[in-house]
Amino acid sequence: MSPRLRSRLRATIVLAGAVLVLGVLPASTAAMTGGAAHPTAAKATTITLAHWSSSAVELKGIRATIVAFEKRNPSIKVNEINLDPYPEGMLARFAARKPPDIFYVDSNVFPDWVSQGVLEPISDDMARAHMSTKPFYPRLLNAFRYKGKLYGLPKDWSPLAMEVNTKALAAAGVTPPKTWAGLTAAAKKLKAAGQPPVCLDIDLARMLAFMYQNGGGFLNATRTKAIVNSSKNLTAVTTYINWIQSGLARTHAQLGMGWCGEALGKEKASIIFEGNWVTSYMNDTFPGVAWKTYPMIGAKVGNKYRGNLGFTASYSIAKDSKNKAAAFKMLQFLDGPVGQRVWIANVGYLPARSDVKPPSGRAVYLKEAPFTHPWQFAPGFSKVTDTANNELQAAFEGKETADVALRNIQAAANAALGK
Amino acid sequence: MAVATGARRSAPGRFQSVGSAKLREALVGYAFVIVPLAFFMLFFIFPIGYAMYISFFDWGILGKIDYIGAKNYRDLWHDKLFWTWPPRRGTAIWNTFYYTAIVVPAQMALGLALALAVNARIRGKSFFRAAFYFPSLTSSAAVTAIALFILNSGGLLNALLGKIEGHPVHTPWFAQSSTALESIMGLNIWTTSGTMMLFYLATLQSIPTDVYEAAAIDGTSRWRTFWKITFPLLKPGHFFVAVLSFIGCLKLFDQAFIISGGKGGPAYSTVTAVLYLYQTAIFDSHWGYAAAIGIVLFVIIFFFTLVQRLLFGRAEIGY
Amino acid sequence: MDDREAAPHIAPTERLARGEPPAEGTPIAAGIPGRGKGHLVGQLLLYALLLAIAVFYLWPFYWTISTSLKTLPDSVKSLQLVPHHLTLKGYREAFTTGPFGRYFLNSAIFAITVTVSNLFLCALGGYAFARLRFPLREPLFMLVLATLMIPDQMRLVPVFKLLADFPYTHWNMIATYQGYILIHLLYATNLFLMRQYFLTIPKDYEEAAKLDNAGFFKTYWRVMLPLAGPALAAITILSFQGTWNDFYWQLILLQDNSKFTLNIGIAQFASGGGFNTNWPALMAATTIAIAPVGLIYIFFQRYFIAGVTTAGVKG
Repeated sequence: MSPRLRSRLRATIVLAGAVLVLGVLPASTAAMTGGAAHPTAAKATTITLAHWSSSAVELKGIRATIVAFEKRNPSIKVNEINLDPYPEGMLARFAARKPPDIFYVDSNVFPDWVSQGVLEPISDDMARAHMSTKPFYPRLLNAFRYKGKLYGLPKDWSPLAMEVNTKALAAAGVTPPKTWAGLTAAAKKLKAAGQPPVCLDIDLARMLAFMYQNGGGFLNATRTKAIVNSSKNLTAVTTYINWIQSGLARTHAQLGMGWCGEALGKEKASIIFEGNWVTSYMNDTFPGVAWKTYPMIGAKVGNKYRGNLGFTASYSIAKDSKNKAAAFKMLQFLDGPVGQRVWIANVGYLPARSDVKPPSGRAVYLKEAPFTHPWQFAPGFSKVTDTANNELQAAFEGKETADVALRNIQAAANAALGK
Repeated sequence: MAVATGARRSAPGRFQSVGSAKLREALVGYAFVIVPLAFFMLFFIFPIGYAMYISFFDWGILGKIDYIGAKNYRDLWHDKLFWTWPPRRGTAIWNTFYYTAIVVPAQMALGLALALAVNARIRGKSFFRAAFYFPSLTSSAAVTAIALFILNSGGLLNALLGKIEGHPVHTPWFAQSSTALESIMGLNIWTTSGTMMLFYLATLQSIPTDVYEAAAIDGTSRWRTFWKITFPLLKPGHFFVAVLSFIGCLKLFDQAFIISGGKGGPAYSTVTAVLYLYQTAIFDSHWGYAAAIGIVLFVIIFFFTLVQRLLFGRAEIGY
Repeated sequence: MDDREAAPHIAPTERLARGEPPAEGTPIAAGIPGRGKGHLVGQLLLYALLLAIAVFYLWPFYWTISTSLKTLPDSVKSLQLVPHHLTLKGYREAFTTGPFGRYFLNSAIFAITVTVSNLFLCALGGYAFARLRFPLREPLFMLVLATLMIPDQMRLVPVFKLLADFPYTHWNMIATYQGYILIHLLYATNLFLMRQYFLTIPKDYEEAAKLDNAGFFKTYWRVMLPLAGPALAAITILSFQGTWNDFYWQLILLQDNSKFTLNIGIAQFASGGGFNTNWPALMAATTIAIAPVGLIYIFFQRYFIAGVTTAGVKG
């Protein structure tokens, strides 16, 4: 080989070797210790907090709560790690028996994790610390109970509600609807006035709310049987799909958006159904848009035709954690009134405790609480929700009828329960 | 570089006898290959056995739960999401085969066409070769991101189609089950045609030119020359590209994952065999079941790779 | 045309192609292109077609770069060919929201380390399999080749479990640099390539070194390795490109945000992980992801193509 190439090659190898030695080894040692390590005092315990983050605001909020906690507990240092995608990252750490000490648990994955034994029950710790569960909203707390024991405390929550573009509605002469029939009428008026349509997603995490509104549901009260294939659900699903197929509503993909919230922000949709997370999103990203939140619609007038989904996550402690005492101290703080206040002040989510004042402008969401069902099923249901979404999409595209879709979803759900 | 010649006194301690020299060479040989061999043993050979072992258990997040014998395989046999009989779109295996059935011929045809074009007597050969190969050197993630942008309902493709058709077009290509997998097909045919072109080029360039001269003497038209002479002589290239393409199609994962967020949507249209394996392992934590899927996939892919090896193990694609 | 009449002894290709027998004693010219109008039109059509295809193939990349330099409102106006307001905002946002700067670094760390490791180990192993005699050499080499038949997909579960809880030491190497690098220390194709190349080097060099009483390693390091330049270049490119573009293992093994590579970052950004479809930023990230391999290709095209072809054929 030519001398020039050889010397170039040699230089490259030396350089790469230097990169290897100087770059990777320190990086990997740092990585081995699990992230940005704070210099710890001789007596201090270090615990790891794992979380996901959907926005810069949330990240700021997490850091603020950590700082507040460390100030009150100088002997405990907190390492925070951001896992994305979250469930897979946590699963890897569980499998290696080296989990973070305290972490988020989404209500939807809670059944899987607790039934596989990776979470630590906290009822005894709470009793010892004289921490009462009374201030917490019971429905949220129940989402994190398993076989009578409590395995985490909810950190915040949100139901769905209806968010509208006030300018578009005014231009079409529409008042915010309260029922399904009202939504149909409103959508027709919007279309006639040339305003952006409603944005609806083919997603179980939205359609299930409508199913509840019509008196249907997914699992029975004891979570032993699937009740998906019912005439009530069928009506709900058909009505929902009809809105989109008749052109009164569009999916976010049809609008070319990433989600309906973006459609509202870019004024491609006049009415959407999203949770409290859309509030700070709209305020930060699209401050110029005139919009307002209204209660979630019901199937018909009357409280028994209301239904909603509650999305929540808990702080939980790992069973394999080596610092359970310190982790519990943090849990106590994060879910105590002070910690909740710091968190809510920073991110504007709804507190899980009734003794903490909710952020301003979110009263509408709070009023949904009595009609809210938790977004949670049974262990092994991640495949079922995927099946449900795929089946509903197939029904939407006309590849099968809605009752076939519901039948298939019910079969999948029963199979998962039977396992 | 000069190898020093001239007398040098033998350094003391160097083995002189043949026997120990052979031993020394053997030891050095082993020393050189010990790391590679250990690597392949640990991360390739051992996993086969380990996967088979896991597949006979119900294995959860924290490890073994139960010995269940061949239940995972039996469940797989009855798993309507994995495969059905008669074949049905929307199941993992049939999605994969449907994809393969379309993409393999398309890649071969396009690769051959490009190779013929680049091989012709034209100027700027290396520019064209570079242009046709360029998509092949991108990563699947990068090129899928580009596709998501261009095939967005408000994106470039729809805008162009709108201009052609005269009315606005807003097809969400990746969000409806009738076009999602097909869009991935188009994407992958485009990106892999360059690599197939290179293989065909290598074969084309190794066909001796006297064959063409003989054809010219006989007065064969260019078209007939191609079909009756060139095409059959490309047989090694055809087989090679076909099998390579086939195996690549069976392993489809990246694009399906990115487009559907790992969910296999819309309406199961992008569930490939490997995506199904990933879902079972990572989303459901059914490691035993996932290992069983892995073994089944291994058998299918191994079979076709073996075919390629046996046919072309030591041969070159050429003469 | 006058040319044709004036050039004796050579029948034009078209006439031959139409099946007319060549004149007695005509020396055969192996197809002279460009003579005659018919041929010229054919050539022009061919060039036009090739150019059209080349444009079609390269257009998406132009579009990517162009979008990355547009402002967000401009990026959704689909037929704007050239950015009306050139801006680097897309790149800035990619580096902040991503953080794609970090991701680029990680991609680079993995690609460079794996390439270096491959260079050392595959060359060493390849040389041993080619030139050193030790018992079971051929069966062991067959074994290495056999691993090429084992698909990555099947190895998902066992490799994941292995790295999550390494036997005896109980290391957890998921979401670490060393875990990913460890399973990419060698590519069997590269080892094969090196062996094949060493087999083609004449034995005279080693004999000369032996006369010089050079030991095995010295022979390898000082004599054989420098001779393997083209093969080393090929596996450098293959390793770099293979690792830089890898998605599957990066997705599975790098669970931690701080270890993510460009590919994972882009996948997340694109598949709706980002709340806002910020096309300029996404296209900026994509440009950053494609640029290094693209540049290597443009400058080292010969080695690149030689490497890919040989790897595909022999691997």
